[in-house]
Amino acid sequence: MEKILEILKSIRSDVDFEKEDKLIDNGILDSFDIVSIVGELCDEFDITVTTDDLDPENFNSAKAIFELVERILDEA
Amino acid sequence: MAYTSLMFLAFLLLTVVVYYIVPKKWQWSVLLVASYGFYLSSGVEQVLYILFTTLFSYFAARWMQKLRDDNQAQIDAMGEITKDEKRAMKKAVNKKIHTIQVVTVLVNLLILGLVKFANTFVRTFNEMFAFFQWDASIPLVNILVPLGLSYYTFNSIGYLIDVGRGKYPAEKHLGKFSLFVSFFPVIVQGPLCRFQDVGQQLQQPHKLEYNNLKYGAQLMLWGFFKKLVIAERVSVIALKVFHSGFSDYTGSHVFFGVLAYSFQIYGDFSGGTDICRGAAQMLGINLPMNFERPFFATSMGDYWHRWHMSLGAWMREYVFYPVMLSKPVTAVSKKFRKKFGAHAGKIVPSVAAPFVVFFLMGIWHGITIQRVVNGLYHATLISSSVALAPVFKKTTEKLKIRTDCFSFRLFQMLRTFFLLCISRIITQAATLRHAARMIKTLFTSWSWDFILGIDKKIYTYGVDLKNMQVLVCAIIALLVVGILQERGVKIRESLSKQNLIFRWFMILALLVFVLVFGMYGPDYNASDFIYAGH
Repeated sequence: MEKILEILKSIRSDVDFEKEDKLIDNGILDSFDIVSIVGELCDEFDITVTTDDLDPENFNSAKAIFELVERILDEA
Repeated sequence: MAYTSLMFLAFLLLTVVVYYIVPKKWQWSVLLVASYGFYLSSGVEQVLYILFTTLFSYFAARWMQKLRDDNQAQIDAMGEITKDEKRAMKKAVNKKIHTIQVVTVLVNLLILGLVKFANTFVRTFNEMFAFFQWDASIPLVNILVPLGLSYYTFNSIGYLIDVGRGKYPAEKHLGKFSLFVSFFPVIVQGPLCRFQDVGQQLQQPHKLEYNNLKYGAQLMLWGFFKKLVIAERVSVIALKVFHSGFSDYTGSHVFFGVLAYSFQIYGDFSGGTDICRGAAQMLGINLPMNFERPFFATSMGDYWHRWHMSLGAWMREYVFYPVMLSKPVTAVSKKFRKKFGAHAGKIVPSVAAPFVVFFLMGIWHGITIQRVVNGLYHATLISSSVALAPVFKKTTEKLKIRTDCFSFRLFQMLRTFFLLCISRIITQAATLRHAARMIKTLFTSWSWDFILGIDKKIYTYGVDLKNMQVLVCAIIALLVVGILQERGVKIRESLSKQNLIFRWFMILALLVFVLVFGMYGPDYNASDFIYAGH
C-alpha cells in the first residue's frame, strides 16, 4: 500500500491520496494521470493492466487501486 | 420530424400520455413503437439500416455471451482444476470473443464509413484522375445517409465492446435492445449513451412524477430559447461573414463572425441536447450530460470535458485508453520513463493518443482537409499542454503570477476561447486558404468603431438594432445562468423553491420570450440542426 501511495504522490503531489475516495468521480485524476499511474503500476509490480480494468471504481481511491493490483497479482 | 417542430411536441405529448397510461411492463414497448414511428417519419428506407445494425449487434453480442457462458459452465463442470488450466481455458475463449468483437466493430464502422463518405472517396478519386489527366471518372453514388447513423452506430459499438470485455451480460430481449439503439430523443444528435445506464433505465418501469414532467418541460423550454432565440439569430451573422466571400474584412469583422458562430453552434447543439434530455426526462429517463458550460473552460483539456461530453467519454473509453495501453505505446512509454523520468513517460502517450482521438473526431464531422487540420490543431494543443506543463509551472512561479485567483482563471478562459475561435475559423471558412487569411486578418487590422457599433456597420450583417438588443439580452441571460451553474446553483431546483408568483413569472417570461423572439421565418427549416446527421 505504501508503494502505491508513493507512486500516486510522484504523479500528483497536490492530491491527498490517503483521504480522497472519489478520485475519478470528482474529476481529480484525468485520463493522462490514469495512464501514468497504470504505467508505474505495471513497472513496479510487473503486472499487465488492460482496458477491462479501467473501471472508475478501480481508481477512485488508493485503496481501490491497491485492491486492483492485488486482484491482478492473484490472477496471474 | 424536427425537435423544434409543433409536430414533435404533439408526438411527444401523445407518447407521454400513452406511456403513463399503459401497464408499466409495457412502457418500453410504447417507447419502441414511438421510436420507430419517429424514425419512419423520416423515410421508410432508412429503417433498413437501423434494423440491420440492431440485429447484427444483438446477435454478435449474444454469440460472445454464449461463448463466455459455455466456457464458465465447462470450467464449473470440470470440478477441481488448476489455476493454470482455468486461465488457459479463459484465455482461449477470450481470444475468440476478441475476434468477434473486432470483426463486428469493423463491420459497423465500415457501414458508417461507406454510407457517410462514399461520395467523398469518389470525388477524391475523380480529382486524382483529373490531376493525372486520365480520361476516367466514377459517377457519384446515390446513397441515403440514414437519420442518426453515427449516433446509433457508436452506441452499438460501445455495447459490443462492453459485452466483449465482460462488463455486463448481453441483452437477451431483442425488443428491449432495439429500443436502446433507436430511442427517439437521442437518435438525431445524441448524447451518446451507455447500455448499462440508459439501456437499463429504458427497461425499468417508470411512474408518473410531477417533477419529471416539470423539470423535463423546463429543460426543453431552455433548449428552445438557446436554439430559436440565440442560435437562429446569430446564424445570420455567421453565415454572412463565413460564406459571402472574403475580400475587405478587417480583424474585427472576422472576430464578430467567429463570435457569432461560437454562440450559434453552442446554442444550436446544446439547445438541441436540452430539448432531447428534457423530452427523455418527461418519460422518467435521465440522459447523460453533453455540455457543461464550455465557455467557462480554462484549458483545451477542460473544454473537452465540457463540450460534447458523451463523445469525449466514448472516445476516452474506446479509443484513448486502448491506444494508451496498447503494447507499442506502453513499451515506448516504459523506456522513456526509465530513461528520462515520470514526466517523459507521460509525454509519449499524451502525444500519441490525442492524435488518434482527434483525427477520429475530425472524421466524425466529415472527411475534409479542414476537419483533419482542425483535429491535428486540437491534438497539438492538448499534447503540448501536457508536455509543457512543467515549463508553464516554472514560468508562473518565476514571474510570481498568482494562479489561484479569479483574474488568472479569467485569463485562462479568454485564452481558451481565443484558441477555440481559431479552430472555428479553420472549420467554417470556405477553404483552408480563406481560413489562413481570416486568421491573419484577426491579428493585423482592427476597427473598434465597428465592434462597438459606432459606425453602425455592425447592423448590416442581417441583424438590425432591435434584434441585436434581443440577442444581447438573451446572451446575458445565458451567461448569468452559466455563472450561477458554475457556482453550483441548480437552476430548476432553486426555482422550484421560490414563491409561486415569481416561479410562474420566470417560466412564462421565458415562454413568451421564446414565442415572441424565436426565429421562425417563412424560410425557416426547423430540421436544420447543425449536428443532426453527424
